[in-house]
Amino acid sequence: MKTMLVNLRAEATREAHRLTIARAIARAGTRMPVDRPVCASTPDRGRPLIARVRTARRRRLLAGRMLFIWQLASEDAIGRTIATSVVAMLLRLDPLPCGREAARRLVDRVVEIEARLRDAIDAELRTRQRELLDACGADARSRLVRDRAIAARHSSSADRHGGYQAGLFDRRRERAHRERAIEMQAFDEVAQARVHAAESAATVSPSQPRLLLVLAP
Amino acid sequence: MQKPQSPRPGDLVVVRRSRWRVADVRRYEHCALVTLHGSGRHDTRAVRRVVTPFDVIECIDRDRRPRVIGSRGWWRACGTAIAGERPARGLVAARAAAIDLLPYQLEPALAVVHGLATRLLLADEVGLGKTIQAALIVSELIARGAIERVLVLTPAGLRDQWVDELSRRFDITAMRVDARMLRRAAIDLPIGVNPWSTVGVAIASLDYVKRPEVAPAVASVPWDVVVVDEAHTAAADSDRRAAAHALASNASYVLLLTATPHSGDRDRFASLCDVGAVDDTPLVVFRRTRSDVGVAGRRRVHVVRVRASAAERRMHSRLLRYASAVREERANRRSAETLLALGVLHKRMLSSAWSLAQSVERRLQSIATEDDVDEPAQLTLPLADAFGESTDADQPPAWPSTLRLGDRDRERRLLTVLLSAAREAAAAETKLRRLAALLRRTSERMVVFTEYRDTLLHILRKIARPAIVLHGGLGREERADALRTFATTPGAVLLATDAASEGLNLHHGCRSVVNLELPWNPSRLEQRIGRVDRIGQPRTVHAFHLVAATTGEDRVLDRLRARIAVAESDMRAADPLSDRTHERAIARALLGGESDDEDDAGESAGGGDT
Repeated sequence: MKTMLVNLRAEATREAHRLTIARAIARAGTRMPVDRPVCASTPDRGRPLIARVRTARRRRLLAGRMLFIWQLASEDAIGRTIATSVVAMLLRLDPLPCGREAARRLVDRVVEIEARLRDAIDAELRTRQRELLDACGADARSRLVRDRAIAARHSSSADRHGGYQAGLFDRRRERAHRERAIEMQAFDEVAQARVHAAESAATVSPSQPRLLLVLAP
Repeated sequence: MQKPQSPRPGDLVVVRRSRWRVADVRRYEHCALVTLHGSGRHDTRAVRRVVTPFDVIECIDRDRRPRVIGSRGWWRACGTAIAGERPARGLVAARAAAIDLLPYQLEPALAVVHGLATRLLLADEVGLGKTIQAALIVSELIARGAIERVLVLTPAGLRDQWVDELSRRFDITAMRVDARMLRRAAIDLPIGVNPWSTVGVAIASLDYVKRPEVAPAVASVPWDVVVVDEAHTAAADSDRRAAAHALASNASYVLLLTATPHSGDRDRFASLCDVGAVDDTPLVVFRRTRSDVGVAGRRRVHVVRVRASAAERRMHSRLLRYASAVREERANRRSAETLLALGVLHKRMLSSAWSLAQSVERRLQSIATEDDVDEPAQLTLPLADAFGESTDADQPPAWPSTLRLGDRDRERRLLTVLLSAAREAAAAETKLRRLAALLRRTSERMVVFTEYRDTLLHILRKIARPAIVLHGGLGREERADALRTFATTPGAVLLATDAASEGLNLHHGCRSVVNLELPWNPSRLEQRIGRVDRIGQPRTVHAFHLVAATTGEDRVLDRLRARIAVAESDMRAADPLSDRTHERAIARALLGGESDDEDDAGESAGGGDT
């Protein structure tokens, strides 16, 4: 009997705080009661959204810069998003277009920035990306250890290697043995599929940073 | 222009003429399993899974060109992006769960996410929300796409509670699997399809799953997570333990839930800790008390000493006379078993004179009909309870074969005298009088616990307040009705046996528990009080233990205290005392009060050697 105690009190307190804030942010602007949790929403993977600040205070805060919000993500080997992180970046740029067709020209400017500065942005975000990557997949790795142990136990089980004596006239034992062998094979396949799935989940790679939002002065 | 494309998580798509957002894509060699979340205003919580290319998925908008929007929409999107962040070492599902964010409840889920555990024992004190913690782990793993099949093994009475908690708090659709459901599924499904394999999250009774005709079908499904609720019932060398271990040792994650993992028996605890073990990876244990987590409620325990009446003392002395006759005759043969059997008889007496009279009457009948013992001749098929909804654990045990005298006439004489004394005592039992006095003092709802069903039915006839019974013989609907009636009837008294009440939440509107007799296992005592002493209980909890002072029950109390102390220390340092030692010691204390130190020392040494 091996037991282990783990103390995650500090992490749990931080996590509860983070979740409380996330709930409050998601609820902001809605009429949902404070004690009611918000519905989970999938982050919009559509087009980047651009807005211009409307108030003088926010314009002052931006001080002629543009706010870019990027999303970093890690994916496992089957393309599932494992973790995401939102990174804000302030860029000082030439004066922005105004007047007629300002919106279209603003979009062109953002597209141009995204294309022109892609490498610089990638380099800027690389450290954060690496941090995210390092923290990913711990659960999948520990699961992989257990799934491998289960698969190994199946393949070395006594039932599999135990001999049997076929009857001379009575075929029941033979049939039972055959059924057992089929069952064992099915178990093997399931165990191997699980190990394969856990390996895929434990193989984590970064995906390209994605521009989510732009706030222009 | 809408056209079939390879979907990616986050894409807005049209499937079967409805709009969805792609939540997850799992690619296989020739197909992909796509999980979709509802995207319309009214179906944001809807989840569908489709397989491409069999289902056509049309991506609505893959244009990556930025779009200018209004300020309000932008800030809303910004909030969604920040709130929807998925930190690698953080929890995904807890944000949307209908739970209060109590840090200690997040710890087990964090341990799983951090890769510290795949096999956990959640052994927090009663009422700290172990179900929520386990459900949080399950929902987190589902949200991460790590698991698909979950099996929750729980006492039959808690299945509906699990289904409700998973659905209401975590938006997980779970299915109660029992004989009725399987029978229905077998009619609908093609021949050869295992009904268990069609359920994503199955809630089943451990007693049902362990049945030989059910176990192979359950075991053939590759469960990703096996949750064993009230796991102390699956300890030691039992069918339950074997079934739980067989299922858990093939699962990627194992969660064992119990507030009372240790009852003073080290071997039992060790066997519990080994459920689902496949290698040397240690079992990760979470054991927090209310004061540890800062939610200590107030609990007052009242030991109410009841002075036995003359009739009860007479019954006690007659029982001792019969016991000494049996012990004299069987002094050299199976003395430990005889002692235990006599202990059970005393237990019946301490429960109520009525229940002792019932046992003795049955024994006298079996002597009269020349049946040697009234033990069951063979295993019975579960025909009376095809759906696995009831339990016989609160029924009186069969008269043990070791409890008889060679001289039938002498035994008949002794038992006849004992029966008449028990009947006389049952006419006016002091414990019931005391219970009635307690009930007169308050108009609040109360829960009265007893170990035996016949005692429970006896009390029902004797008390004046509106009473509801909850015992192992009730079916699912009857139990639900009983609990509903108790919750809605002001001043109602719930008469319950341990077998029927395990795991129930009765703390809404009830704070008092009466123990008509002391159980010999301290875990049971804690489980009983834990029905009302839970998180969310706003008032001081009162526990009343009725102790018959002059019939040896005070010595049971002393033994219980000692055993609780051992269990408490044993969670940290080993100091074993087995159940049998404990029960024999109680039996010996009841049968004359001689010192049991010698025997205990012997047992302890034996336990240490093994």
